[in-house]
Amino acid sequence: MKKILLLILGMQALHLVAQERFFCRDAAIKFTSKTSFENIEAVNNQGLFVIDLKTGKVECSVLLKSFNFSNALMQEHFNENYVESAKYPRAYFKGDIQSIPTISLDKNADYTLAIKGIMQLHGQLKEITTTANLHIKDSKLTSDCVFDILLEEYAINVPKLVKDKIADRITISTKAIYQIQKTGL
Amino acid sequence: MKMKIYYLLSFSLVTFFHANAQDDLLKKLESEQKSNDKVSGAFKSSRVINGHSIEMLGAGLFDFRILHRFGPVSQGIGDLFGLDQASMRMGFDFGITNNLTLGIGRTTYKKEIDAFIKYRFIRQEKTGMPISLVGVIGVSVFTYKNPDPLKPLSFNDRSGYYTQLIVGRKFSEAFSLQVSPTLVYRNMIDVGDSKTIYAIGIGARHKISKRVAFVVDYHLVANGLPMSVGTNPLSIGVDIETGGHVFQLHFSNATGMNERSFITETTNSWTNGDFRFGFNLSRIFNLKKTKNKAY
Repeated sequence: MKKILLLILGMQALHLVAQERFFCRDAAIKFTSKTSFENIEAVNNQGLFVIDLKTGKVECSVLLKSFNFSNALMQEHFNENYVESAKYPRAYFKGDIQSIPTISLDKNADYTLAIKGIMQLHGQLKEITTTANLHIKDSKLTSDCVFDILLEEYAINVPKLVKDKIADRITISTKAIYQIQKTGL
Repeated sequence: MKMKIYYLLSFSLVTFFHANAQDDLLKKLESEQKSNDKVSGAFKSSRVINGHSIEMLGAGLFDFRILHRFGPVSQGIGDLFGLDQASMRMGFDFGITNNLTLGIGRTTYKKEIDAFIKYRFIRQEKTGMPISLVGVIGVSVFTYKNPDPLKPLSFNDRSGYYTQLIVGRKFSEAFSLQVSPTLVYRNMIDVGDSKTIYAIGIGARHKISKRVAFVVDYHLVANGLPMSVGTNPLSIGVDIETGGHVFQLHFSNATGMNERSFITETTNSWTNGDFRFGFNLSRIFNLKKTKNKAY
């Protein structure tokens, strides 16, 4: 009897935990390089985000080949010369929300969260600290986040000839609309 | 006591599953994601050196190409190893779609104008399709005045055509190889020569660094050329890519800069030391000014 009770309790716990987990398959990730010569922009609409409001774990994974540039040649150079997407197909971010507020899906609200984690790009790992905004509107969870990375920290070398056209500091902005993970686990 | 253990067990079980599940969820999402499987960058440029490569211009890109072929290096210091003589082709290639390129150019040699349509039928994929298949058809017309006023040349006399299929594969990040069966048809020929010439092109690229590659471009003329006059064009060089520019520096026994010309009119021979320096300069401009709407 006790065992059954425990099992039910345990399952409920699992269920509750599962309810706190959200994911997004089509997060928009944009990066911008701004120089006095030109601004370069690329967008990827297939970012994978997983966020757990219980544990505060945040995970993102993105295919570098899916970044779209308006200039096809730039897109080729991005993949071939800079991020080497054949060798390192994905970029990752894995981190934690620093202090998790109590978030209820029933109440429309905006939260600003401090996030600290590790970004993995071009085979390099680097710590990132940033803030992200979480919004709840009509029981829908969305997020947006902006942070900068330095190309040299990820061993992405820009040749001298094009140094004026590619910024050292790249701004990355993300937007995601989440779904609740439905299955029990 | 027993109760506590149960609690502890169930608690640890919950956290264990939980920690695992998140990792799994991301992995699961990753495995469900369709990736862009298309292989790109088999060659640095849309030409191996002389011949077309399996590479296409992206949609909305305009490639301004300046080609130079100098005199034989064997002419020595007096002619600065051939640099005193130059023939030149100016070319304009347009990427209509990612699989269709139109191009036009003019060569100083014979004042020849040439144009081509290049279409990619099959694109190599990382998993699945192992090769790329590209087709090219082109026309060339020389516009010089016939020095003999009694024999005016008709448009027909002046024109030549070529068509080729290019089968190629990027074998690794560094190495790519292509083979291109080619047919060249010329209306005006020397006595005893054949109007239709069959050739097989072989192009290979090996990357030395991310932006520099070693390239070889060879065309074996399979029939019809009077070999006392014609030889097979062989070009060896390096591609240097610097952002929007690609420099293709090479040595070749061919002077021609279009298919009719380099396949059927190469008279110099490497074995006699009659090779020349030449370069292709490609500058790519983006004509399409579309904004990324999706964000």
